[in-house]
Amino acid sequence: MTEPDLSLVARQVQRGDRAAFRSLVEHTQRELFRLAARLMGSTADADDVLQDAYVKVHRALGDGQFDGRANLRTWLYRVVTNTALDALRRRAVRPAGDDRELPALGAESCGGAEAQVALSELARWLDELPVEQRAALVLCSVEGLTNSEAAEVLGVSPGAVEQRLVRARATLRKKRGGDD
Amino acid sequence: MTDEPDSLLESLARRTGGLEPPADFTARVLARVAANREREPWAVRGVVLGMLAAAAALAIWVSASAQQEIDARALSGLELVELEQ
Repeated sequence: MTEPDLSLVARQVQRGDRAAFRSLVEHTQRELFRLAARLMGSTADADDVLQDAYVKVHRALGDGQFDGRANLRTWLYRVVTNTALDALRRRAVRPAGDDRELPALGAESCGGAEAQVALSELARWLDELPVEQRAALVLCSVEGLTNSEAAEVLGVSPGAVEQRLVRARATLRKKRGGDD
Repeated sequence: MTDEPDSLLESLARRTGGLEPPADFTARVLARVAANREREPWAVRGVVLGMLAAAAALAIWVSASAQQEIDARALSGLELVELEQ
């Protein structure tokens, strides 16, 4: 399947073209699902977060909030990351005993058992980090974005991203030392 | 030493590279967007009705206040006439 020009697709969505929105979802969902899963540490949470994010994307495009000056991929990353961070913050303040059982998604439908094992391992490493540090680490060290790209996604300066990365790496190094 | 956490994360990035959404994901997103689109006009109508009700209440209050002021002026006028007589 050839990749369409997503900026053009976004403009079609802005004009109310429903088929264009389907195309946008189909061509971006794999990459954004991986991002959401890595941020959330679970495919069930990623499913919820990404659905919410696409609803926001649809509304924002309809309202003309995406003006085309920003890179569409960066903008989509920002919407998904912000939605995931909100969900992580809600999860952090959820009272004890309110751990609602999320619908389990089959491993085979989400990339296989090995990927699920690796995702659980990633979640265990990132679990103790504050959400802002977690996001910086996932964007730069897992997704492979540069500090400037991550800064644009997070809406902070590249210096702030670097600071979060230094702190997050220090915490991970300490945790690794403790586990050995 | 500085690369140690990053090499761990790079390995986990490779191993989670195969993650993908369930097959019915697009259909569920489109259904949610459609449901939201149907709900939104009602939400807008609710806001408009609320604003109309608030405007009506304000108009009634302004009208009542104006009437009270007219009555008060009329009464004070009568009192002046009575005093002059």
